Amino acid sequence: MAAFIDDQETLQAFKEESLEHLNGIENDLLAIEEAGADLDQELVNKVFRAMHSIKGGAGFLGLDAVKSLAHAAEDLMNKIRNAELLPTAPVISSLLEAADVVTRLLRQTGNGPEIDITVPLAALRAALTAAEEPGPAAVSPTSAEAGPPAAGEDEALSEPLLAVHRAEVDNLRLSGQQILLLKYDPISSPEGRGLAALLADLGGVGQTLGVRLGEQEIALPVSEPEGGRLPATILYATLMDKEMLIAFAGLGADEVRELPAARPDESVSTPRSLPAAGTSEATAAAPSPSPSPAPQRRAGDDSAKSGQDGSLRVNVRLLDSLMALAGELVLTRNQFLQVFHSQGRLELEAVSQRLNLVTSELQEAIMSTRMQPVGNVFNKFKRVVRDLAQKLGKEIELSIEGGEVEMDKTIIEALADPLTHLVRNSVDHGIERPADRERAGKPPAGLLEIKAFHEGGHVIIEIVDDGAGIDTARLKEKALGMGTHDRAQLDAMPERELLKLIFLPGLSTAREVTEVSGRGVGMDVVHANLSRIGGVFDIASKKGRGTTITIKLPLTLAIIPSLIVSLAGERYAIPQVNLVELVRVPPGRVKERIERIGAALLIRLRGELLPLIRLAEVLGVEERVFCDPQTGEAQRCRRWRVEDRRQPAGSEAEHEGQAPPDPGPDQRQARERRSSPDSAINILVLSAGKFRYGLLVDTLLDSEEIVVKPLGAHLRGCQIYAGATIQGDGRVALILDVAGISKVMNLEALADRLPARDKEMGQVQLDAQSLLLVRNSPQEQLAIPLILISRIEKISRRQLEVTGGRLNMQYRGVSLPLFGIEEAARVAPVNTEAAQLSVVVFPFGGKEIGILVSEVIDIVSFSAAIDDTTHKQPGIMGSAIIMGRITMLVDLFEVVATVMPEWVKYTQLAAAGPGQGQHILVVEDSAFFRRQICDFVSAAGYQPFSAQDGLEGFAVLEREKIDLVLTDIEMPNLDGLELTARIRADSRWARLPVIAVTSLSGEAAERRGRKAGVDEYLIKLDREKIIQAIGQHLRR
Amino acid sequence: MPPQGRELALFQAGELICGLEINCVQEIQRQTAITAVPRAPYYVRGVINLRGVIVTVIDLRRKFALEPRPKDAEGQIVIIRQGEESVGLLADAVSDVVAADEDDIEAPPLNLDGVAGRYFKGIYKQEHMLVAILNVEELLAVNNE
Repeated sequence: MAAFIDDQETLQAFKEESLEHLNGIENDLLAIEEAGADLDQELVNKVFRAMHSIKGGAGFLGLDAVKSLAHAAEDLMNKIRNAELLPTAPVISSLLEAADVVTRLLRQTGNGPEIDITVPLAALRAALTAAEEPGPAAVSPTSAEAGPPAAGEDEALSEPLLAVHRAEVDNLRLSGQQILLLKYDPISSPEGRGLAALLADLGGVGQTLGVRLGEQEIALPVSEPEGGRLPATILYATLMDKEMLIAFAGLGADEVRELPAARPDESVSTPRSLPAAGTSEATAAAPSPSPSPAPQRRAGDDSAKSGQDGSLRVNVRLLDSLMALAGELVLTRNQFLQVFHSQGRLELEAVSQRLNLVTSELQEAIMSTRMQPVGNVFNKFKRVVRDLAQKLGKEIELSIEGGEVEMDKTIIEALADPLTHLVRNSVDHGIERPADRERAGKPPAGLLEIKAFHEGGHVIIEIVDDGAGIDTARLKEKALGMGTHDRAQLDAMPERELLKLIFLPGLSTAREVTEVSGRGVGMDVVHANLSRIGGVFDIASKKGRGTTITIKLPLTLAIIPSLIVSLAGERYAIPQVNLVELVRVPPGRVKERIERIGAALLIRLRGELLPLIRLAEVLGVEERVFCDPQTGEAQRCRRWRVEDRRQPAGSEAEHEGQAPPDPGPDQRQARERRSSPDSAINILVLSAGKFRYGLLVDTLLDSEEIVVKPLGAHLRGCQIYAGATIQGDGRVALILDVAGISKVMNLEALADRLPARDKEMGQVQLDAQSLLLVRNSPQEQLAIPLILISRIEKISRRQLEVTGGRLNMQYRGVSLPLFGIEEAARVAPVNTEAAQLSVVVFPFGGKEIGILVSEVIDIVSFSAAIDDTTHKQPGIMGSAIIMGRITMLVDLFEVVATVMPEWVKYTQLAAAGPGQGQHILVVEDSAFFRRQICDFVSAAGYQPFSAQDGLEGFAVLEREKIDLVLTDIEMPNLDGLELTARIRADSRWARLPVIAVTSLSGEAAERRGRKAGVDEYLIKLDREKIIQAIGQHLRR
Repeated sequence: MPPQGRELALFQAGELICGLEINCVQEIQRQTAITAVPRAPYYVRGVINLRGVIVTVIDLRRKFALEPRPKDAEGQIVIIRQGEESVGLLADAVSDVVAADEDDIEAPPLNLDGVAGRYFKGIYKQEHMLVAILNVEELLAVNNE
């Protein structure tokens, strides 16, 4: 043992050790409070011992403030342990407060401001005196079952064995002290000296750690009558050597025994009690007469266990270097594999496999040393929530799930602050006061759930409350006040967008700035911090029902699976975390899948439109190069742009003359015939947190695990990179930052204008319509519901043909009849003299029809009211103000039906069939849609009954004989799903067909609908499909 | 300006002969494969792998707005430390190491062959050439606009 130990080192070791104790104490105390009178002795002892050893160490090191607090806390714990004091909320609060102050004292480095301990100390003393006052209060029913007090002393301990914290002993050893076990035998003791006298002697030259008297460990200090003349064992620490002590204390040589250090490596400490001093926990528990543990002990047991699972502390620097080594090994392996594959030597195969295996295992093992349970962070919330709830006068039931889910230390650490902020937000703003809750028909105690679980290689953390939800109206006001948005913008924003406002810097919805929240650290900071560790953030809220915040996190940061792509001879890595799916569009199908609106490219993916961006454009690498598979030579790709094959001459002007001259139709066709796999288009569908987009890449290479390395300071401003990695051949590949790209390319703004996607996570459904804005003349804006459109084609005037007096165009080998809106409605006509026109294609009676317009302007999401009187006319459903202009909503069906009435009979809409006159209930809150649906239902020969919401609909159902229900989903009072559930719950209507009509499509929404008992899930304005479905269900 | 004589590593960037105090230089690398970094500041040539560390390479010709180098000319990369990281300076060729007498070093002119004087700490005058001693701080100032 080193003779000279730096005091600083001892102090540091003590601080670390004590802080570790304190860390666990909080949860233990909370568990004790929860268990109430039903004491968990084990847990109480644990806290007692922790306080005891802090007190001891602090006394030794002269940290008086710490010592006094720990001492008072120890006394209080002793009372609790002896069932003289109930662990009530005030008692526990005083202990928690004391633990906090001790923590602060220990954390304090150098000469910070002095920490005042009078308040917590007084609180502890007050709790203590309260216990000592006679009264009916403090005796718990379990006190009878606790160990019998020894020698009638109230200080006597029910725990029979010496329990000294190993770490405390280690600390003493570190400071150069010897640990000795002394035997006190009253018979051999000189002059009949009592135990107390011996201890008093010893106290002058060392430290008594514990005394065992007969079968009992007794608390210090020992007073004279105690124990009397019983033999005792004393655990003692001193700087004197053994011989000197024997002489000094007048003990026999055989009565003093040195305790060897348990292990030579002192830095590895396990919080176990010293074997010689107290044997193990198991024996300590054995004589305890208490019955089987109470069920409430669960939480306490967990934390007790986690403190004793033999974990060891490893220097983070060491871990970091191990990580770096593992990273290097991975790279070497990659290099090796590359060499191996290029040489193709068979004998290398075994070696290669071995290297591969070892590397992976090493990587995994080392990664796992960095893994920590997320419970480390979660458990702190018990206290946060408890204290906050008390302060705010709220009742909150906290449920924590998945604390055992493990994540990289770096992530866990980075997670603590943002999560705390979110939890505080939920308690402060989310959950209402008990009275308010009761008024809202909710139980007085709010439920706050914090969950962690694995999902597809990620960890998902959810914070769910059943509180008031986010008040989007208030968000609007705030945003208005801050001047980030104007009233019109806000009014046009759907709910989903409004919720995103919460990420604006400086926006807090709290009515006033409280101590709890609204301190300027806003959700924007939380969002930024989570993004930094690769977290993807989502928020869903329903007013009056609660808020769900979902955070998707990677398991680790250092080594990530990635997809390698190449462009213009360079390789780029895209983290798999962000990759949703890979879409390969064969050359022949590019036209149908990829669309172009204005300057933006879009990809249609299962009915959803996503913004599409070319990687080449992101990187500003305009010259496309590809590797010839035969020669390996880099060649310039002949195909210029993906969408150019349907671009007529002249459109290239938008690209500032960078494009090659149009090769003419012949050559274009020649290109189109190319069918080598190289000419298919690869699109990566990427998730950038709040939305998705498509990235068009040249060549997909491989999936690889890559080691992330940081980029230098000069490149941090680029935004589109998340770092770099080294490939098998030693070259550097850049890692793309998926969220950064969307920001730089401003894709979010584009995505916001696209049809709302039905979020998987129970996002509030909205009645928003996605509208395609078109015009024939600059003065007149028209809108077409996007959901009814199958495609938008840009055509050149030359493609128009006139057959039988009607416009047509050749399209995919068939003739596509073209209509102008002006043929049915009084609107400005299409300028057929223009070089370029757009055709909006939609299905009609089993075939396709095109509506010819001069120009496509934009796609907008629109949810405000539609006026269906002012501009109502054949072919026009109504009008609305969109983007500041009066816009007429085109009724595609009516346009065709007006111009070609005889075509209607090809559709399902003709009034015919067996269902004539049957009663259909239309439940829809929007007057506009209600009228629309009733109109075409009655046009098809049925008798519609209308209702404004589920409640009204239900009443109609009771009153009338209804054959089929058509219901909207999102409605006030009683929504479509609940209405369906009610219908299904009633035996009278068990077989009544229910068709849900909505303005949104999506698998998740449809699943929910089916779950509620909906027979069919359709789009509101798709009258053909609706009528067809009605027919089918009524025939059944 | 430090008073004593210094050892300078000399290298060429276009017409310009640059000098760098030898103790700033970590090592000199033959030009290896440089990975271009699209959207990087104009003066960044790209990044290289220096024994597992990603090093940003600054093209001195671009930084000094000199004529660009012929496409396949081989250059050399002078690796220097900038705080926590290493940065590479791409030069045409590293020519020599000289011991410069302090008396031969003068304050930099406002500009040198059209290159802004702030990039230089001083001018070392020799019989048949002028060596521009680089001001590393100014040269490596991060410019992320």
